[in-house]
Amino acid sequence: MSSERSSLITARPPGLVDVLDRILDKGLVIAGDIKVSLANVELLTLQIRLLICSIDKAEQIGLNWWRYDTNLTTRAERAEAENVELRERLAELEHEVRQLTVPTASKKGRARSGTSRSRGAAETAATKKSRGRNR
Amino acid sequence: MSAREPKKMSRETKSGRKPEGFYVYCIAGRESLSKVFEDALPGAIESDVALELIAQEDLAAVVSPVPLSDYGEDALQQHLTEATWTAVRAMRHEKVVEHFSRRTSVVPLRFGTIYLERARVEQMLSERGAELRAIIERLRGREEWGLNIYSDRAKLLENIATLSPSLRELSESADAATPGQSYLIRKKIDTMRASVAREETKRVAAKVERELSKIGDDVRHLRVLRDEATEHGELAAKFAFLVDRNRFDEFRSAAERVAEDYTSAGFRLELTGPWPAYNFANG
Repeated sequence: MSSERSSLITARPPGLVDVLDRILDKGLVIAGDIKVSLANVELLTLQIRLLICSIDKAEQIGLNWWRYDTNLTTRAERAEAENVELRERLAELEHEVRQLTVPTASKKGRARSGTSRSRGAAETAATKKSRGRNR
Repeated sequence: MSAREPKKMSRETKSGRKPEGFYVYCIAGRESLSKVFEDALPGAIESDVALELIAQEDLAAVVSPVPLSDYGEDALQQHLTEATWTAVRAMRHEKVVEHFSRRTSVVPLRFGTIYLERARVEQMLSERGAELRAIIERLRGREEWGLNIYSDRAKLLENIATLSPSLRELSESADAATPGQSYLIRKKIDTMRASVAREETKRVAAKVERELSKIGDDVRHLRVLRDEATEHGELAAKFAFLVDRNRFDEFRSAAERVAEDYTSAGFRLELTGPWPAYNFANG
C-alpha cells in the first residue's frame, strides 16, 4: 500500500456500535424520575449490530443522516426527505431482523417482554448468520 | 422525602397536550451553553420539538420535552428492546451531546435520563452542583478518543512460528518424526500457537496503552463484545483515552508510531473520535 502510514489509523466518523457502547453504557449516570434498566446493553448491541451491516450499506447509498446537523435551516428540507427515507428503510430493516430471528426462536412473533437467555442465544446465532451472509 | 415525590402526571398543559417529561442530554456551564443556543442547534431526540435549557445557578442542562407515552417507565423499557427505535434515538442523543461538547466543556449523560418536571431538573443541578462543576473542569479542553486494536489472526499465527524458539524446535521435530508422532506434535503446536498468540496480543495491547498513556490524561479499558470481527480482523482490545485538544497531534503521531511497529506482526490500530467524554464522566 502506497499510503501505508496514513492508512494505519482511520479517524472515521463514529459508527453505531461505538456510539451505543458509549451512550447506553457510559456517560454520567443520574437517576432521573423514570427508572430504566439498561442492563441488557450487550443483547441490545448485538441486535443493533445485526442492523448495522445494512445501515453501513444505507450510508453508502447516501443515508448518512447523522453526519449532518439536520436542523440547521438550509438543510432542513433535505434532512426531512432523508428522515422519510430512513424511516422506510428502518421499517424494512426491522422486517429483515424479524425474518432472521423468527426461525431460531420457537415462538411466533417473539414475546415482546422476553429477554430470556435462550432468546439471547438465538439472537447471537442470527447475528453470526447474517454476518456470514454479508461477507 | 415525600415533598420530593414527583407527581405522576406532570406538564399537563393548557392546549390539552399530552403529558411530557424532560429528556436530559448533557450538563455544562450556564453561560457557555446560552452562547451555543444563540446559533442553530441540532434536532432533539423526538423530531417535532426543540432543545431547551434549564438553568440553576451557574449550571444548565440541555433538555427537550418528550411524551411520556413513549418515555414513561413501561413504554421506555418496552422501546429499549426494539433495536431500531433505540438506534435512531441513540444517534440523536449523540448528535446533541457532540454539538455541545465541540463548543464547550460538557458532562455527557447516559442515554435515558428523564425528569417529570422542570423543577426536578433544577433540583438535581443544585444538589449535584459541586460534583458537576468538578467534572466540567476536569474535562475542559479535552476529548475522548477511542483506540481499537485488531489482530489479523492468520498473520499473527504465522509470525508466531518464527517468534517462539520452542515452537520452531517442535516444528522441526515434527518434520523428522514418523507420521503418527508428527500428527500429535502438530496438534500440540496448534495449541501452543494459540496460547502464544493470546499472550502476544496482551503484550501488544499493554505496550500500546503504555505508550499512549504518556500523552493522554486518562485511559479506560472498554468492553470487547464476543467475536467482534470486522473487515480489519478480530477486535483484540479497546481503549478510551482522554486527550487534551492541544496535544492531539502528538497523540496521533504516537499512535501512528506504535501502529507501524506492529503492522507486520499482524496488528492494526484504529482511532475513533473525537467523542464527548462519555467514558470519563463518572469520576
